[in-house]
Amino acid sequence: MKRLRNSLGIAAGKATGRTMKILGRTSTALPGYVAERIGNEPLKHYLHNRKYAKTILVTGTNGKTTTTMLIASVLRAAGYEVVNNGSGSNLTRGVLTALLNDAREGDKSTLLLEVDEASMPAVCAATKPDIIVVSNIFRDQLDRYGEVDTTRKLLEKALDLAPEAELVLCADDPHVVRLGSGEGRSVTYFGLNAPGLKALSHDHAGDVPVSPITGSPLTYTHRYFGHVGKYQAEDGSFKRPSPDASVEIITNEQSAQIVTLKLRGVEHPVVIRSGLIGTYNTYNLAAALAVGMSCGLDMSLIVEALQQKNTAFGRQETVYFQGQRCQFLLIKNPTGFNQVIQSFFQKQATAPVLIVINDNFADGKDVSWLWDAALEDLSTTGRIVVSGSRAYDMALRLEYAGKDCEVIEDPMEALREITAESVDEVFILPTYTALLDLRKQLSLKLEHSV
Amino acid sequence: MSRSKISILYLYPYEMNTYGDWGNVLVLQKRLEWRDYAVEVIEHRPGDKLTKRPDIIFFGGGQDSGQGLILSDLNKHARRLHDWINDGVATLAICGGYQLLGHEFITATGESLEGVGVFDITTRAESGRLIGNVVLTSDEFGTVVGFENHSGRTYLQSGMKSFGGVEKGGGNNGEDKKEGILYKSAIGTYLHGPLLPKNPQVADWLIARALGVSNKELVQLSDRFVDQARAVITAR
Repeated sequence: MKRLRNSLGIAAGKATGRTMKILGRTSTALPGYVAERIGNEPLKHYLHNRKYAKTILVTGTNGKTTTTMLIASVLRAAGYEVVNNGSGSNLTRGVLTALLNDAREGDKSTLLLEVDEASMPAVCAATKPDIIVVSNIFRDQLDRYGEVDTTRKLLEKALDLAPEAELVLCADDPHVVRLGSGEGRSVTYFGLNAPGLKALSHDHAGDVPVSPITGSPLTYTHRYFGHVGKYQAEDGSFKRPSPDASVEIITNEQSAQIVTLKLRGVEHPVVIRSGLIGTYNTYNLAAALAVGMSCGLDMSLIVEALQQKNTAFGRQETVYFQGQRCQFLLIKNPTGFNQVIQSFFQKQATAPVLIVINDNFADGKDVSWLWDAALEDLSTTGRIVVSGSRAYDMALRLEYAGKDCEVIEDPMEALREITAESVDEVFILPTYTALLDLRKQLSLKLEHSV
Repeated sequence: MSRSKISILYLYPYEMNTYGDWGNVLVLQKRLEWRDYAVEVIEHRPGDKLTKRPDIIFFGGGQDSGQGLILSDLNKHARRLHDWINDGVATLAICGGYQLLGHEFITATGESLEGVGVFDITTRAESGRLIGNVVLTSDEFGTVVGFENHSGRTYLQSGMKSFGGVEKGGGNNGEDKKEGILYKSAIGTYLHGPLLPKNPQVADWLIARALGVSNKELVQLSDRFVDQARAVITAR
């Protein structure tokens, strides 16, 4: 009976996907949702007899979508077909939707999924991954998850369900490193060695981690953002592991950065020239490179793939509106917001900025996170316009940060207003549903990683 | 003209800081500075000394792990905090801070954590969380809006006055339609949001208490965006 219901659910999900395709619509979650409503564990059922050359899961608070896209680029360069959920639809229903829409499997196919932290236990149990990447663990939509400790425990539970999986972990986030302590587990660490990089002066987004062994507080010799940096426990019981892939030099150019990495046991440094800007993207690049290494791929092939023009849904995606160049920078939580500020709104910035804050379920219904973002450090000579269903919360936050702004509640009207004047570039900082709405209204085709 | 320096004691800013609670300190600081007062924020971390009586005390909410980090330090200073608050020091305590100023907090595993005991309340953890937008009404503050997210159920002892009556949301325990506590010049509450940006009347009440003046004597501020930001919550 259970099997029958799962089969029925999957058939109904597939039919939903086909219907949407005929209607010219892209499905990111609905077919999976339909299958879940009818079946019991349709994801597990669907994957039961399917084989992939590699199954890779990417999770963590920030960087999932971009890292997934970069890994996809590497896998394709190596000749694999990639089955993945590239639109950031990362709950179990989104994962299932991606699978229902793409039936490829076998020796030449890889399954690459970005997975929401809360969906990790179910997805781990169903997919039996070969590699799990964890980027970082930060406050994110606490109304859904409760506390950061809860998120970490969810991931611990998920990893227990995938004891064979090799882990690719960020060495600079102590919450993430705790996940690698399991016995006999193969772990590849990536990290950043950038003594010149300092956290924003108003960065409140970190959480105070302690030594998992003794509870002793951690002290930092370098703090890059939040609780990410170089640390050790005061009593010496716990410290940052030395990364297997370590970013050593970051040089910024006009709309590109050059990232030099040192790899364990490799004499010559690896240099990647990427259009992805910002510290957070150096982590994403290092994570994808580490996955390529774990898959035993040729380094020159990996580097070449990472250098291709890669932009994920709403992350440094460029669009033109009224002839004006605009760049989307998705913001979802304080750390993500801070990294955008750190990368794009330091002293010399001149670009106008439109911030669109919604509080739908997918954005998080609690907007208190705006107060944990370092708006005090946002610097630009351009105008600041705020919009969205919680525009006035953003305006209030900016008022207390000492920044002048204008409120235009309707996002499209705000966009028309801010692009009216011709400048080099306009930055649009939307929350998730604000991004979806704006893109829809701009009638942009949903284009994912190439 | 600059007047005397106002001190804000910020208890455990790194250990007890979630849901943007530090924004309350920012609001107190800015509203004082906009009125030409110099402000000193004293961050108190575990192990620090606590000797000088502040004008305002702020104690935010934290995760369970954060509470574990501060308990022994809090117990060390409990007597002094107790006396200051009893003596009328303007105080705002949110969520975990609110709970820990009470007599005890009984955790999900049945363990009893001893609090400062200045608020006549007890709290016990329960499995379901109270999460969502909250609207309160009170004689002192009119309509108060915020966002709650807590598993603790708090009960006021008889004779204790609540911070407000619950119009929408769970409040102290989801049962008695009361939210928080109002005790002398101290407020304990579950409301995040953070509380003060969207409730400037509460911020100014604390400031007036700290300065020893009536609310009417405070210079009025423009508060350009507050009404619309509040309207989003009350309209739902």
